[in-house]
Amino acid sequence: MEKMIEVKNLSTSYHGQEALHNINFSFETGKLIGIIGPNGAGKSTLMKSMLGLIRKDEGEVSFAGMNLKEARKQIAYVPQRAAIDWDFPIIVLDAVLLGVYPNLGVFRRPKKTDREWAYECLKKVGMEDFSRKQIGELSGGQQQRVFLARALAQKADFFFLDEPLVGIDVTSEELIMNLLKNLRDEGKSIFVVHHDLTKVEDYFDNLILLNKKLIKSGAVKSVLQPELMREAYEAQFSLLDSMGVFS
Amino acid sequence: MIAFYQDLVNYEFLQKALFTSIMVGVICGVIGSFIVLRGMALIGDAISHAVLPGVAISYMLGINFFYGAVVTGMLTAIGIGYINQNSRIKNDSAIGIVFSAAFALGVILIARANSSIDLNRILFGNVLSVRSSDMWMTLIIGAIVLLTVIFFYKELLVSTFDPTFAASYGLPNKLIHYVIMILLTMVTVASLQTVGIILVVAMLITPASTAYLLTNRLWVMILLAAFFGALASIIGLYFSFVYNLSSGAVIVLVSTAFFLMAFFFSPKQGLLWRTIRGKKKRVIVQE
Repeated sequence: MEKMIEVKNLSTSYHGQEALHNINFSFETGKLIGIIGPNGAGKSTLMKSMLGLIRKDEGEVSFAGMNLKEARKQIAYVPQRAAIDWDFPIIVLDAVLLGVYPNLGVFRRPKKTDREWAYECLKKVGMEDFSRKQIGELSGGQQQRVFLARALAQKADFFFLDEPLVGIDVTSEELIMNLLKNLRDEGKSIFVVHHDLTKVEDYFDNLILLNKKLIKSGAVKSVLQPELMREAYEAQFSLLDSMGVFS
Repeated sequence: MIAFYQDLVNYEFLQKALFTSIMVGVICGVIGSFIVLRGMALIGDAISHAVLPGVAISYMLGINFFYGAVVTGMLTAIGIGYINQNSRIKNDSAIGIVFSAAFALGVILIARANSSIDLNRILFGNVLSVRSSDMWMTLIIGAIVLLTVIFFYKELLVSTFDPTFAASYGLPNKLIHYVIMILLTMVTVASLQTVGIILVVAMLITPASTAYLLTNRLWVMILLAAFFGALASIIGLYFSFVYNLSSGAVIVLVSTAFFLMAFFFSPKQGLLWRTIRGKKKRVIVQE
C-alpha cells in the first residue's frame, strides 16, 4: 500500500452544488495518468481538490502513504494557461526559478546554484534561448514548456498538469509528452487533465474517466470501452463515434 | 530654483516637508506596484477613503489617528470581502457601497468631533504644514513597509504572479492579501499630509503604472515606481511652495506627466514606437 496514490470518498461542491460525488481510485506510483471526461465533468476540480486548492466536502487523498501536508513539497502543479497573467513583469528564467521557492525557507533568497538549476530545466524543455524574454512574448506552446520547466525545477515526485496540451503547437506537444514519459520512466507519478480523446492510448498508462462521478479508472484499454465512454459523454458520443475514436 | 534651495536650507518646515514627501513617494510606489499588478486599484481607493472615519474617531478619543485609520481601513477591506462572498453583489459594487458609506460617516464624524480639524487638509493634504511627529510617523511606516517588502519579496512575487501555484505549495494567499491591505492603510495614513485622502490612489497607481510600462522585471518596476513617486513629490513640493498651489494636486499632476511620457515614448510599450514598428511591418509586408 505504500507505493500507491489513493483517493477515497472524495466529494466537492461549488456554490452549494455538488461538482464531484464520491470519487474513489488508486494507482501505483510511477504512472502517467490522464484525467478525461466531457466539459464540466469536474476534471480540473478533481485535480484542485486533490491538491487542497479548493475545499473538499469530504474524502481522503494520500500520496505514497503521505497526506497532502506531508507530500506538499514533492508535488508540482502546473495551472491552466488561462489562469496566468501573461503581462506580468517577469522574464522566462525568473518564472522557472519560482520552482525552487517551495524548497527555500521564508527569508532565503534563490542563490546562483538555484539560477543555474532553473537554466538547466529551461534547457530540458528547449527554451534556453528565450530565458531573457518576458513571458507574454512567447507562443502558447512555449509558455506551456516554460511552466513545465518550472515544475521540473521543483524536483517533485508527483506532477499535476491542468490541460497542458490545449491550444499549443505540435512540436511543443511532442516535446512535452516525451518529457512526461521520461519523468514517468524515472518513477515519477504524473496526472494530466486532458480532453482530446484521439491520442490517449499513445499518451497515458492509466485513465480516470469522469462525469461528476467516477465512471471508470484503470488501464487505458479497460477505460476506453464504448459503453463506458457513452455513459460519460452521453450527448457527445455520437460525434465521437463518427470521428472513429474507437475504431 | 536657487531661491528654493536657500529656503530649503533656512526653513526647517520645508526640510520636513521635503523629507516626508520623498518618503511618501517611495512607499506609495513600492506598495502601488503590488496594487497595480494584483488589480486592486479600486480597493486601494476604497481603503484610502475609509480612513476618514478612523481619523475622526481617533481625534474624539484623543489617540494618534494612525490607530483609528488602520482599524477602519481594515474593517472596510473585510466588509468588502464579506459582502462579495455572501451575496451575488459583484466586487466593484461591494467596494462602492462600503467605501462611500465609510467616507460619508467620516464626513459627519469629523464635523462632530472637533471644529478645529480641517477637513480640507485631510482630504487634500498640505505638505507644508507637516509637523515633526508626522515626519517621524511617516519614517516608521516607511521602514515597516520597506522591510516587509524586502523580507517577503519572494512570497509577494509568487502570490501576486501565480496565486494558484503559491497555494499548491502551501503559501497563505489570504494572509498575504490582508498584509498588503494593512500596508496599504498605513501608506494612506502616511500620505494624508502630502497628497490627502482623495488623491492618494493616484500616488499608488500612477508611478507604478508608469514603471510597469518601462520594464519586464518586478524588482525594477518597484525601484522605478519608488523613483517616480519620489521625484514627483519633490517637483510637486517645489511648485506648490513657489506658486502657492495645493501640494497634493501638483504632485499628482507631475506623476501624471511622467505617466504620459512613458505611455507615448516607452521603448517597449510606448504608443509612438508601437506605431512606428507597426508601420515598418506593414511596409515590409507590402514589399
